Amino acid sequence: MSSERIVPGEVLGVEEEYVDGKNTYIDSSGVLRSAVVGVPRPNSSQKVIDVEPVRRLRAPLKGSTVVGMVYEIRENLAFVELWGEVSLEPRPRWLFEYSGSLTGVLTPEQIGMDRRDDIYSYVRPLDVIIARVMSSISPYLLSLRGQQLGVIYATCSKCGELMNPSGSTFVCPRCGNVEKRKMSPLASSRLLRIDLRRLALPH
Amino acid sequence: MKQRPEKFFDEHGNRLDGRQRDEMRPVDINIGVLSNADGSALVSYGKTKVIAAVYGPREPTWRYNVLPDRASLYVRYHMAPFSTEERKSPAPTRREIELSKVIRESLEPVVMTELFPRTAIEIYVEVLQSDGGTRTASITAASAALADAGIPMRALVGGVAIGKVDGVLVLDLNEVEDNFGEADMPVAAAPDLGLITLFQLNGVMTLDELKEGTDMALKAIERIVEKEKQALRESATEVEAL
Amino acid sequence: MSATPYRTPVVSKVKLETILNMYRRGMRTDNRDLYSPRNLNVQVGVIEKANGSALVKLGNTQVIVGIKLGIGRPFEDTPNEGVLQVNSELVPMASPLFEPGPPDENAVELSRVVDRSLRDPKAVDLGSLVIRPGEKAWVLWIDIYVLDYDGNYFDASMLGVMAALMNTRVPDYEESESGEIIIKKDSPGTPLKLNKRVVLVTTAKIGNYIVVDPNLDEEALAESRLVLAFDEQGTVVGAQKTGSGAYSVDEFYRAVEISRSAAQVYFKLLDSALQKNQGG
Repeated sequence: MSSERIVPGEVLGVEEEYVDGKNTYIDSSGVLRSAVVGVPRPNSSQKVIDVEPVRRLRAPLKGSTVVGMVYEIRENLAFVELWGEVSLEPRPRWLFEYSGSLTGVLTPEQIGMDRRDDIYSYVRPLDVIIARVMSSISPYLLSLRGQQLGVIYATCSKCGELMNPSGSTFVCPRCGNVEKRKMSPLASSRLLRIDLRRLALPH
Repeated sequence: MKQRPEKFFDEHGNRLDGRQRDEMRPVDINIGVLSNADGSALVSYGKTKVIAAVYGPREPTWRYNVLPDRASLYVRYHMAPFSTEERKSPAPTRREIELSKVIRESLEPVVMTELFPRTAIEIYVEVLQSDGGTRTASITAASAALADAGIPMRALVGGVAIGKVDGVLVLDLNEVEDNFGEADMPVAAAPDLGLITLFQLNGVMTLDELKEGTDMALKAIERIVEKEKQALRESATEVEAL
Repeated sequence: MSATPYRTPVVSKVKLETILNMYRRGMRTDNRDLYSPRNLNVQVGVIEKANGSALVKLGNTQVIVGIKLGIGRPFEDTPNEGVLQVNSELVPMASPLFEPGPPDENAVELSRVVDRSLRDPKAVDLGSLVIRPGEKAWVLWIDIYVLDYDGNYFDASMLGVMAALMNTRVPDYEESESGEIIIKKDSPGTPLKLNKRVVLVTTAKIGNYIVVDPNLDEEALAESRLVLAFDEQGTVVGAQKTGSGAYSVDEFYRAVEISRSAAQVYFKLLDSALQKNQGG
C-alpha cells in the first residue's frame, strides 16, 4: 500500500525514541528520517527503525550475492568485474544487472586457500564466479567461502574453449585439458541463467 | 524570437497565460520512465519538459576525479536541439556549463555521497521542451530520479523560478516572462530540512522584493516536493527484499 | 559534465578547527574581522593597447581586466545598443589548481555572473555604443584575467571591471564614403558612459559563520558561498549561490544583510584606491 510508504527526508521519530537503522539517518537536530523510498519496519523491542527500500540501490551491498568475471590475477589477488546480483534462495535466480563497471577483489583468505596452494587452482582469469560481497565500499571485497559460491564457468587455459564441469574439476571438450577450480555446485546444475543485457562494458 | 508583449497582465490582473501572479503551471512528475537508467523521472511545469536519468554508484570513467571519502556527483544539463523556438546547436554552451554546475551544487547537500567512496553517481538531464524554468524543473527531476535509483538522500529537493514583470513578482515564470521580464530568480530547496540549495538572481530587485520572492519560492517548492513525494510513493510496485 | 571537486579530507578537518577557533574570537587568519574585506589596491591604465584596463589586488588575489572596443553588429533584438561580451580566464600561472585549456565551469560561471550583474541593471549605457542602428555598433569586450588566486576572484574581478570601465575611452571614428567605419588610431576618444556602478560581494559559510571576502583557505573550507551584486543604492542586481552546501532561510537572510553593508565598503575602498592611484 502506497500510503505506508515514506520518502527521503520524512520523519520517523526522534533520537530519544529510536536508534537509526538501515536506510535512515539522524539529522543535526536529532530527528530520525528516512533516506530512501520504502516502508518503515520498526522494531519496538530494540528501538530500531529500518526502512525497507521499495527500489533497491543498483550497487553491491554487504551480504549481496554477485556474479562477475575474474579479469586479472596479481600477487595472489584476483580482480573481478562485477556484472550483477543473484539470489540463491529458494532457488538460484538472476536479480539485476549493474549499470556500470564495478570492481571486486578476492584475497587468498576469502578464496579459502591453503597457504601453500597456488591461487590458479582456485580461480583463473576469464572464470565466471558467484561470490558474496563483504563490504559495501568500492573496490568491493568478495568471498568465495560458502556452499554455493565459486566458479560457474571456466575457460580452458590451453585452447580457450569453454570447459565442462566433471566431478570436482573442469574438462576441456576440445583438447581434453583438465583444470582444478573452487567450483560452485551451480556449475554442473546450470540452474542459473545469467541475463546480461549489456555484453560490453565501458572501459 | 517572440515579441515583447505590451503588458504582462490583463485587465483582471491575470498573466498572459491566464495564471494569477502566485500560481504555478500544472506540475507533472513521472517516475521510472527509462529502462536502462538506474533511476529516472520526467517532469513538466506547463510546457517545460525535462527528463533526468541517474546511473550509479559506479566506477568513474574519469579516473582522475576519484574522491577518497565519498562519491563524486556528475551532472550534465543539456538542451535538445528541438527544445527551443529556433533550433539550438547541440554543442554545449556557456549557459549549459554553468547550469550543470549549479544543478550539481543544488543536489550535493542532500545526496549521501559519503556512503559510496571512490564511485561516481552520474545524472543526465535533457531539456525536451523549454518554456522557462528549465533549471528548476531539472533539479526536481534529478531529485526524483536519484530517489528512484535508491540512492540514499537526506531529503528531496525541488525548484521553482520567480520572475518580475511590469514591476510585479510572479511565480514560476514562463519563457516570455523570462525573456522580456525584469528579473529571473531560480531557487531550489529541501523543504523537509528548511535548506536553500540553489539561489540565483538574474535581474534587479530591492531587498524587500528579494525576500518576498524567496518566501514565495519556498512556499511553492513545498507544494512541488509534496507532488514529488506522491509520485515516488506511487511509483514502484512492490517492496524488494534485501 | 560538472563533477564534484576534489578536496583532501583530513587536512581540511584540521584547518577547519583552527579557523573556527579564531572565528569564535572574532578574528581571521589574515588579521581582519569577519565582515571586512582585504586591502584593495587598484592601478588603472596598465595596458596601453587596451581601451580601458585595471590591475586589482584584493589581498593577494590579483586580477587584470582589459577592455577592448571593436566594430561589430548590434544583436537583432537590440538594434539600438552596443554589444557587451564578458570572458574570463583562470590562467594556470595563477594557481596549481588551475589547468590549461578552454574555460572550465568555474571560469564560465565567473564570466556569466559578472555579465549578468552588469547587463541587468544596465550598468553600461549600451545605447551610447550604437553607431548605425541595426547595422554598426561598438562591441565592448571585457576580458578578466585571474593572475594570482588567493580566494574570491568574484569580488576582485568586478572591482577590476569597474575600475577598467571608468577608465575606458571610446575611440573617435569616421565614416568612409562606402559607409565603412574607420577607427582613428591614437585619437583621444570620449569616456565610456556608465549608468551606475556595481560591486560583487562574496560571503562564505563556514560552520555557523558567515565571512566576507573569503581567502583561499576559507574558500576551500566553505560549504557554500553566496555572491551578491549591489549598486550604490543597495539594490540587489544579481545573485549566485556557489558551492556544494546549503543555507537555512535565516542564514541566507543574514548573509544578504552582511553583504549589503560590505557592498558600500567596497565602493568606498574602490574610490579611495582610485584616488591614491591618480595621486601617484
